[in-house]
Amino acid sequence: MNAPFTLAAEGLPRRPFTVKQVLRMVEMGVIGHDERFELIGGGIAPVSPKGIRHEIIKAWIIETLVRGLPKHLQTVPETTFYLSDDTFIEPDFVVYPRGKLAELSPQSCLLAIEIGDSSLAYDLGRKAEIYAQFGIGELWVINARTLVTCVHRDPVDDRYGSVEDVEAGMALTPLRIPELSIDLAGIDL
Amino acid sequence: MNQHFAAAYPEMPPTTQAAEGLMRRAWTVDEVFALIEAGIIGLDERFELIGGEIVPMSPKGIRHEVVKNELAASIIRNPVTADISIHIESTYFTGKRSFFEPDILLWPKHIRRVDKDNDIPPAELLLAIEVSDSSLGYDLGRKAAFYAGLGIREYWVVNARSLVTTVHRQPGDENYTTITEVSPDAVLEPAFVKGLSLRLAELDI
Repeated sequence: MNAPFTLAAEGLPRRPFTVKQVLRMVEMGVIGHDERFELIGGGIAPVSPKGIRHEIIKAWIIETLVRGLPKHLQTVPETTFYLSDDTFIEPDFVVYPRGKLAELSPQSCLLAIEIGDSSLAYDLGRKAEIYAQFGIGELWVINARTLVTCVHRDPVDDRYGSVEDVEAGMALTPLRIPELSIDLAGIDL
Repeated sequence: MNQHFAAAYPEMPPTTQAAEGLMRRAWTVDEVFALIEAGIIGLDERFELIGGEIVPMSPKGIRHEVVKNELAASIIRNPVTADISIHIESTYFTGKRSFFEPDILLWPKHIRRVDKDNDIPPAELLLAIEVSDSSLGYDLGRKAAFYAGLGIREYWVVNARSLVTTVHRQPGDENYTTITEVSPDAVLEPAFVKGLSLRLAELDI
């Protein structure tokens, strides 16, 4: 069970925690092992539970990526992506050089994918900002309802210079993985 | 880094608003104590816990301290407060996920504080006072809303510079419904402390 969420101190400056402190809290048991959250600039933001539609899309993407990625690349779902001393996120997928998960960094992350159902507004808004801030080269945000993919490229400061919607039925090819082509129309929802 | 990750106010300990707009984990009082015991939160850190969120307090200026102490002294010296407990900058615990540190807090002496899990019920408090310098906006705004939400019956915000007191009465869900400003030359009479009257212009400051 997740701890309760709050917006009680919205607008007020709040005490930040570091990655190290948060890991220690989990070790101590103050934060439960089963709690799922991201650490955003020192603030602990619980991850909302995923709907079944989200999971069906995720399952399809796993298969597609595993089959379609060139041999030298690898993907992992829902890994903790440590970005700085006070920030980690949990993308639905990251694609990186095979065998290099431990060294995953904004530079080695060739593609990040978020499937947005209840979290769509966050994924397209604040979350995309965070990806851009840390210089992750390409982010796809898939709208779980419409299967439209919002392709973000060219991170500059805290935004992406290029943001483009691609509908299901159109092929998606990441800029740095030209061998891969995905069409979400193949998902059997 | 960018503005979201920078300290919100340079004179304060590092703070964050990076997760603004996102739901955030709500801490309990017990969890916060465990974090202090483990050394993750420093013993010297001053903060309030507001509905589960840790909000650092701004350091207080000399003027704040002088006004607070003279005001508290004048209340304590008055014989009508003999049967009233007067606590200064005491941590006041309310609910599982909040504690505040009002500058001055009054309640009837016959009600004893036992432990943090059973602190004085808000409705038993006679008066809460905040002396405000840099925190004036917060004390008149969000803090008033929190105190009203708790049901604290009377709340004064004393402007440390002008000595104008904003008297808040009749707590509603969102805020107090009666809010009046009292100048330093006028008489302040708390509704729930019988016989006490103060004129801040007469304080020795």
